[in-house]
Amino acid sequence: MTGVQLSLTGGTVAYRPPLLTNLDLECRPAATTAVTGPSGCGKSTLLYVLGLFLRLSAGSLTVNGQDVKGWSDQRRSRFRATQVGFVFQDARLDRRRSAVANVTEALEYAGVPWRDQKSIAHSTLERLGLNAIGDDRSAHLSGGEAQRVGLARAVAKGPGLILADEPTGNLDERSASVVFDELVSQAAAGTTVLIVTHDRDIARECDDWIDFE
Amino acid sequence: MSSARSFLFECLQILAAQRVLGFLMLGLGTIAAASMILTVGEAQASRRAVLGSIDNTANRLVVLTDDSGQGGMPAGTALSMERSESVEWALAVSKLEDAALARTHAGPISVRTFDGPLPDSVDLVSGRLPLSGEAIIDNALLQSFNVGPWTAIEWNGSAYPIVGTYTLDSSLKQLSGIGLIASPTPELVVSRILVMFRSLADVRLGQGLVLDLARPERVEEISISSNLQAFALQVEIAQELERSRRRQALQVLVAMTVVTLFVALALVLVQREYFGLKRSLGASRSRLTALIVASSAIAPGFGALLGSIAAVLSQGERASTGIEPSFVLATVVTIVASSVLGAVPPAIAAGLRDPIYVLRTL
Repeated sequence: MTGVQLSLTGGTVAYRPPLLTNLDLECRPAATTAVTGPSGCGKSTLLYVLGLFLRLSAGSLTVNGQDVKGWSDQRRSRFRATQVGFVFQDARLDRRRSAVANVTEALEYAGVPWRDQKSIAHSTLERLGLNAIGDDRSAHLSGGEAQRVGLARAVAKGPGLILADEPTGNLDERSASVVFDELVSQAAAGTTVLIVTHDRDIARECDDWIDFE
Repeated sequence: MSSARSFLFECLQILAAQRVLGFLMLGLGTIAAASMILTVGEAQASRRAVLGSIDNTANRLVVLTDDSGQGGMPAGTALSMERSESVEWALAVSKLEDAALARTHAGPISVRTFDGPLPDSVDLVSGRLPLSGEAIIDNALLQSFNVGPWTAIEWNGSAYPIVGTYTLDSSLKQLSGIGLIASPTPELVVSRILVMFRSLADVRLGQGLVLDLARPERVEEISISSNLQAFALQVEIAQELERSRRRQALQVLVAMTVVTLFVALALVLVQREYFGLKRSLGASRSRLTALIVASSAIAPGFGALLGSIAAVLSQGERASTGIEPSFVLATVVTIVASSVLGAVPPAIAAGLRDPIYVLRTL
């Protein structure tokens, strides 16, 4: 997997109060980058900026050397669909659907052929120790299982960029370890991984660390 | 995710996730289509039937009142008189021996424009109307001629046997024989035919107007005595049909649009978290908007199909002569269009909604 090179220069997102102010950041492929800081300092906002959800009020963001300022919503969405895997703190699964269906939906948006989707989803879930719950409705999963399904959804398409927002925040030690190990292995495979966390131990294990303190 | 199959699949998933709203919209579509077809469609069919009746009658009147004087009545038309359901008319026809003549007549029967007042009744010899070449004349004229029964009159150098009289006095309704003399005169046959056609017009058009325009007073106002009047009535009813169609279609459109708007709004509100999720997975604003609009139109569209089929089937025999397939199709299209229309504002709003807000407030 070819990771995405991100470069944020003077990044500012103006809300009241400003969520990000004049932030410079480099995220390199094949590395894990931890972002830490107190609540409300703009860590999640940074993820949404890098995931091209939010547009900068000032500054510039380049993706693989391309300034994204002029990108249309279509292009940004396409980038998210094919290159970005989001991992949320509380999984954010579609609770009405099965674990496999949650993963295949991401694959569908990524343009993975229909016939390959289920096998990819199953193999990804199996890698994360979830082979037994693939057809269970997400609503019936435990917190740890749901988070791993969320991770599977993010990594199944082989994204170039993984943006993880407190991915281990609600997990027990074992589940947290599985999740973090998967993120590290994704980075080892070339993916750019950005992890927002309050856990400084995790941050220490990352290749790079940006502290908003 | 560009294929239509994936798109449809995703729409169905959205609907399946909110079965109650889905069934609500399905039911709305069904009811709207069925009610539109069973009310408007049936009324349209009735009106069309009357329009056809007027059209037929008008055709006959055109023949009889052709201002060029070159009219003619096809034998087939004369035969169709016998099929009239009017008792009064049937009685008269039963006395028409020349109907048999018309039946065997190969070409048109010559007639001439009648430019006087229409007679109210006809007095006939031996209970029959004149054969070709025989005459019936105005009763007053007969008196002025001072001739009795079994007398011929001369007109344009020919002798015409008088087989009956007609009168403008409506009190003379009884058929009575006054004599029989044979001689051809196409002009005087016209009088008889006009009387008959006037009866036809009174009965058929009168009923039609009461049934169709729901304005009984019009029956008194309208009496067709010329092709121009028939044509005018025909145009009027056609316009009324069109106006009615548009009015009803507009009503359904507005009602369905408003209802769909609220249902789609509920759909968006209930599923906003999942729409935010879809955005994170790569759904663009336009795709999200299209998904919501399509999801909101599928159920009512399917319901409209079901409702249309049910309504047409429930009509039984009437359906074969009544509802036009184009009207059924237009009904379904109207319902789908109004659903789309109603779903657009909430769908656009959902597309524009800040996904971060949605994701953070899950």
